Amino acid sequence: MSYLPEQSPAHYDPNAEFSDSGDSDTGTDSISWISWFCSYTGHEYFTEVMDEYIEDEFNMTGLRQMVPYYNYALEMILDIEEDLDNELPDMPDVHVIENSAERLYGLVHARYIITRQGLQQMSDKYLAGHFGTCPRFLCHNTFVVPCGRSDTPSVDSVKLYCPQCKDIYSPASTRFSSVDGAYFGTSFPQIFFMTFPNYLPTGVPNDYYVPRIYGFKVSEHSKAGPRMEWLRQFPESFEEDEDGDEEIDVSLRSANGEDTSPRTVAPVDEATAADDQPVDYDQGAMPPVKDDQRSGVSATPDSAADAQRQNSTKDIMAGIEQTRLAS
Amino acid sequence: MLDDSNSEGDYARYWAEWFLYLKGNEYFVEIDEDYIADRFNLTGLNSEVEHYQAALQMIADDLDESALDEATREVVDRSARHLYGLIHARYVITSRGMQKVLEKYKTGGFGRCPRVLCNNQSLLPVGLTDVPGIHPVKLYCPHCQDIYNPKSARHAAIDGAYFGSSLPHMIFQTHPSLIPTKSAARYEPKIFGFKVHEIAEAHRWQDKARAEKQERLEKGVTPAN
Ligand SMILES: [Zn+2]
Ligand SMILES: [Zn+2]
Repeated sequence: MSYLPEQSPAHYDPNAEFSDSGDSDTGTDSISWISWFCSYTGHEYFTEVMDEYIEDEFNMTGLRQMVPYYNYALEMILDIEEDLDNELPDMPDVHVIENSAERLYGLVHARYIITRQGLQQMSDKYLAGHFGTCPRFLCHNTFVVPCGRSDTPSVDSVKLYCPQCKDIYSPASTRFSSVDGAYFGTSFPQIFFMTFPNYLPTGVPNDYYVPRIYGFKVSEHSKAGPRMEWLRQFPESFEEDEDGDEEIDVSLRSANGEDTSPRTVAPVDEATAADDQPVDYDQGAMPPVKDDQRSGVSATPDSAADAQRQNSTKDIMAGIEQTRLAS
Repeated sequence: MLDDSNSEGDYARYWAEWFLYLKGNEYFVEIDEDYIADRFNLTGLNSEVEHYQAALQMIADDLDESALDEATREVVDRSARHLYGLIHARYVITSRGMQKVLEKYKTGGFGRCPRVLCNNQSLLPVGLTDVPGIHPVKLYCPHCQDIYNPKSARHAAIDGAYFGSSLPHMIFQTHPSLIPTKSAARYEPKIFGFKVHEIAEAHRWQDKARAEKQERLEKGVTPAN
């Protein structure tokens, strides 16, 4: 076979999708092609498609037209031993078959993970944290799932969907930038969370970040003011916020003693879990401001601290912003 | 002061350079010597760190470390890093400091927004609070106006208070021309190419909220509450 068994990882070429030493003997104790593929660096999001699924021609409908050298690729994936020393005259270069095998496996994978068995396997990976967590701070390490932006291969790399903010992100590590998003598909996140609705975040309000200067909200009338709250809010949260406290932010939230911790399956960041005292300007941490260093903001630290204590930031901020705009 | 030999001068800025090259300290900018030399800028910090004078001397490469015992040296070393961070938080919101931060920002020195629809928007560091020791540094995206955890675990140990909660907002208040144009693009979840009903409904709701805000801003009306 063309790929190397796991027991010789030193031979893996990290820069190539597949390594080929020309060694055709993998021995009887080698792992299957599928296991090798899924354990390859950068392939952490893939789950192993069962052989029976691939062997059922019905499941492969239409893939023959999408994958060059389909038969060779299929044999490679299923570890059907071919005597590669007796190459057929029309046998393409082994690298070509490897590329086809990856393409074929990816496309089968996208189909498999929305089957009952595939969803179960992806659920196991999800709960084990294999797909990572949302990079957005206010999502508090919500687990994400892989997805594609297109079902056509070679359009875009794999992305991650967060069920909390309902948005998609690029994986943190560049090793995923060469993994095709079509191998997970555009529908997977929706089907996954329809199948496992109990994984959906519950009881976590739709927090959004409130920009502040010296503890005061930046007025929305300022050019630098908030414009994107709508992006992070969803209808149900507004019904809860009828009491008028619709603007939720990092420092005020925990002061209210509300639970901002993630769903139970997500690991809690120590630093963020223990935290959240309201900002205290009595600590002497605020800089003295020279006139030439004010940067156009007229709130002085002292008046800021006083105001913070009075805890009526909304009205005051509007006032400060008026002053600022007027000056 | 210490007996200042000529060789001391050759190592000017040694401590700060060493500090800035430490792994994890990539988000810091170099504080001008003049800024640290002006004691007015350091008002109040003497009560924030142990062995303040020694720490300040260490930062300025003015400390005779041989005069300290090992235990004290360790405390001073820790104090110096903490002090540099506290001064940094003040420095970055001066006009000179902001310029340095912006230079880094323009080359993507603080990373890019992980949100796909922000199209690699450059980020700025931000603290969640100005009180040290509470939250590690976060990254602010001026496109989606949201904050993100840094990619690398080494930044999880960097105190957000060393950048301050105001930094990105001060910068964009001061340089409004640098505010990126907002886009209304959203991720649209689909199943086999079809829109999901609840999502479509939520998006209509968001569109309405956005339109209302737009209208409010154009009229210049302050929201009632
Ligand atoms: Zn999220
Ligand atoms: Zn963004």
